[in-house]
Amino acid sequence: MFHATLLPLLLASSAYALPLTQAPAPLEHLPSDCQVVVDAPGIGALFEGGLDQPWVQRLRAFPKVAAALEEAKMSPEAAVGIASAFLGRPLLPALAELCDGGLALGLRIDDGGPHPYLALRSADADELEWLVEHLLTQIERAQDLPGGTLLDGERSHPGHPGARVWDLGDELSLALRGPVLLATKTASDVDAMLDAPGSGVVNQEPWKRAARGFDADSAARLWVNVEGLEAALGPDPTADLRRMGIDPGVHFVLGSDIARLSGMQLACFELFADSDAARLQVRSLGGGPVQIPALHPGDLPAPSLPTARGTELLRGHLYRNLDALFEHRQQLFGVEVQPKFAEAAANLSLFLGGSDVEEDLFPHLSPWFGLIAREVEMQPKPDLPLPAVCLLAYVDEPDILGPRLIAGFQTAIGLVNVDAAQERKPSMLLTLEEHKGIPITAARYLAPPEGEGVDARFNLVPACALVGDTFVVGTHVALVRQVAAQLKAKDVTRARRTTDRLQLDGPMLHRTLAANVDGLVLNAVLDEGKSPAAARSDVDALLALAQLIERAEATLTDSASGRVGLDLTLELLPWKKK
Amino acid sequence: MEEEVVGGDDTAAQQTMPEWVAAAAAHSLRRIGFGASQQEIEGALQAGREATVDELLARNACDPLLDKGLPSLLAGGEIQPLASWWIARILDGGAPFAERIALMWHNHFATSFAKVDDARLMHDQVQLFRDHGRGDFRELLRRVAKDPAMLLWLDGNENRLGNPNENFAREVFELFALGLGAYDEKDVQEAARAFTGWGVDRRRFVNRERYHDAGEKQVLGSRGKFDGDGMLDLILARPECPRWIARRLIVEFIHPRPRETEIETWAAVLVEEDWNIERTCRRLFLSSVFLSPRARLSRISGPVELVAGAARSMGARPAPKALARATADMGQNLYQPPSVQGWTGGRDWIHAGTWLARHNTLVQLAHNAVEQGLGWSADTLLAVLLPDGAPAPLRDAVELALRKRSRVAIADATALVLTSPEAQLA
Repeated sequence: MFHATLLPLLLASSAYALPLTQAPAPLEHLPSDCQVVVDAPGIGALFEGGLDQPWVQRLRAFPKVAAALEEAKMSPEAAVGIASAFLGRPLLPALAELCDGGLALGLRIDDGGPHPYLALRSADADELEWLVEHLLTQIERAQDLPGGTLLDGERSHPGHPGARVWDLGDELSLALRGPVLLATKTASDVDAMLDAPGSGVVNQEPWKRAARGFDADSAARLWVNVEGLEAALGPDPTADLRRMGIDPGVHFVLGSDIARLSGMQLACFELFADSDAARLQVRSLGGGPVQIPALHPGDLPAPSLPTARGTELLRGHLYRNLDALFEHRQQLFGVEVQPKFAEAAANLSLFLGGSDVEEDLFPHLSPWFGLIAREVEMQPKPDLPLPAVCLLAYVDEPDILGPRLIAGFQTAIGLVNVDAAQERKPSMLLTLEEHKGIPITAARYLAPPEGEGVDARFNLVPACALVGDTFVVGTHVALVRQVAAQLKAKDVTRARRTTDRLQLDGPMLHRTLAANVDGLVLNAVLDEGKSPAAARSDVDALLALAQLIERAEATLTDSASGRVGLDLTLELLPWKKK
Repeated sequence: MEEEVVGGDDTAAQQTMPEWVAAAAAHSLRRIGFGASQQEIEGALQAGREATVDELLARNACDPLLDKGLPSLLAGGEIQPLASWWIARILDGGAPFAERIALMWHNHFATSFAKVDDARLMHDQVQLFRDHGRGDFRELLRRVAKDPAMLLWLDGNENRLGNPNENFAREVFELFALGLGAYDEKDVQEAARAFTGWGVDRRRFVNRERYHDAGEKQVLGSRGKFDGDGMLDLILARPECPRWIARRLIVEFIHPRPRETEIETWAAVLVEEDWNIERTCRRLFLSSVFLSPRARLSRISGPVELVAGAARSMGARPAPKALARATADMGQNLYQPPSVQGWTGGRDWIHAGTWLARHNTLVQLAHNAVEQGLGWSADTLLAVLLPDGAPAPLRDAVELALRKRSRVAIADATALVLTSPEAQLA
């Protein structure tokens, strides 16, 4: 019953710096059957800089946080002052000292529910001991308990002389051993933590496998024993994950490497952060050996892509070997989806004048695709303006395949128009133009009369072009013109990686959101029932967040070696102190 | 305040003006707008009847953020988000009478997205009701007759010289302006000829002269080479027209089965007020009949007014999107009336097909309102949700439910009231 106030205050207790004793690391106190572990060895540094450090300043400047602080009517400095007075120690240095040797969290889930574990190592054992006693006494006073009620409930542990243990009600047990403080739910759990060093989770094979790949510079790590969770909870919680491997949609859209995550035994997340950047590295262990080599790029170089500073929202290259996916579909996917492949092939062949796509198209398509999204000038400008997107496909017989693909595009437009006519909706007109010597096929709707609203469908002026061995198809002719011209002029940037990679431009993201802010606000009002003012506040917060981002990137790693990783990098615009 | 004497069985004696008490204030706020919170009812009591009515009529400004996002919503072309948007305006309470009148005309000049298939045009039509629905009815009719959504709905583009389509003409006579019995089949055929050439081109009204039948027509006892505008003038000159519109107003604001004397009286008022809907309604709202026992709880609430009224009474903020779906399940799909006759209302709102949806929606609303931090005593609950009073068994049941003093108990008690027979009436 006291844990709600006790734990934060315990964390707020302080120690003056003294040399570190030789005590097990916090991680070593997590029992062997933990299924989830968080290790934050560098967490003490978060508190060292106090309230003036850049990440705190950045957080305080964030609109939602600033508004909350305004509402609280107490500045963080004042709150820290009050807590410090309660502790009799400066709060933030105390936290830094308390976590100087790191902090670890563990979780075990079984039939009885979740069992959380917390371990931290202070710089000074004596100071930590004083702090725990001081806080227990303070709590006794605050709760009007007779003096010694909590303190005198201490017990020892026969297997660990020198350890002091308190069992405080049904929800919290504490143990103190040297500079290490342990907290968990029950007495048996805290005993397990005391017994853990030498046989805890870090001594088990699953952890060891993962730890071999940890980066010493990471600020925090999250480790999930997926197989362990399944053993405890059954297959239901991870059913969707396991199905990814046999889901054609995942293979086609997210890629076969992501699909292989379905076989993971362990998942590891590492966070690298400072005030200007955060990187989250995700690794999956146990995805199984590469089943079909052709589904993974190996050393096949990714294509070079045109780039455009200032208007480009997204760019990337993706490896999707359609030939291999179709060829090995029976091996990869369940029997229930096989007819869909036949249907897809038949439909695609319609667009290619009846050609067999598995013979005449897929083998001649590079498995690498380029993806570009940019803001383009649109006439008329839709009331809901969206970036244009284009896909770059690379063909090995452009003289033969190129015209077929263009004809296929025209056929697709024709079929769309047939549907539209049946439903008495507007049709698109096909046009052929030349831009910098490049023939471009486009389709457009008739513009609405002057002064009338412009529907969202006017974001769509689909177009295609063939430049060398590159077939460009996009949602708007303006983007296709740009990209085609850049390809012809060989104005491209070489790719540095041979795995899937997507890059998002922060300022462009902000511009795209800002251009649609009224729509976002209204959506929040209609979908969630927020007041317009509250919805506007939320959207402003989203915009403020987008405004912080300089660049975001997602890259696949380690795909060929049987392990799959995902690198998510978020670079923030440099912090400028106001 | 001048007392409006209303015809009927009690014309013999001047009617006593009903007392301006909480129940009367709640009834006014419910009928003129879409309900009100307890605070608003108390404010109305303090302000007095006339000031309250005038304020409700004058208030015409919803939160501007609702309108700012409208272009992007319309750009999407979907009708459900637009229905959600309309519900959001109703819940906002910034333009109670304007939205009430818009809903009334939407049901009167019933046009459905199901055939028009253009969200912008549907929005434009309802916006026309907001902008002109309180003014001169004659002007409203002329505008509606040329409204692109209406013309698409009633096949204006197919109405051509030599091949007239009678759909619009028939509905103008039967449903929009005159009512049954004021015309015959020949009038409909001749009127259709007058409206030939009126059509829509890319969302704009066009008058295609080459498709217009310029010949002589014999209609409603007059002979001439009437075009569409001339035809409307003829219709508006008929004595049945003000009676038909007065009937509509009485059905909407007084009683679902108007008396003939009432209709005559208020038709005369409409003409006296130069066909101005708002001025006519103002006199109606300040009349003795508006607050008479006959008018109180005289009809079954339509889904939109029911859920919006319940939400506004409780000060709740349900998601408009969810409410739009719910009212559609309850039988009132905004922008998609079932036919050109609109929603017939009355007992058609409550039957085996809709009661479950109505019940579940109200229960959900009750629980959501409590989630948002509303707490009630039995007295408060009943005073706000049933200001005209609650029968003793219901009061007893609510008091019993509230004894447990938990959030669930409050929600259940609220749901009990909202789903009671009394709460279904307006």
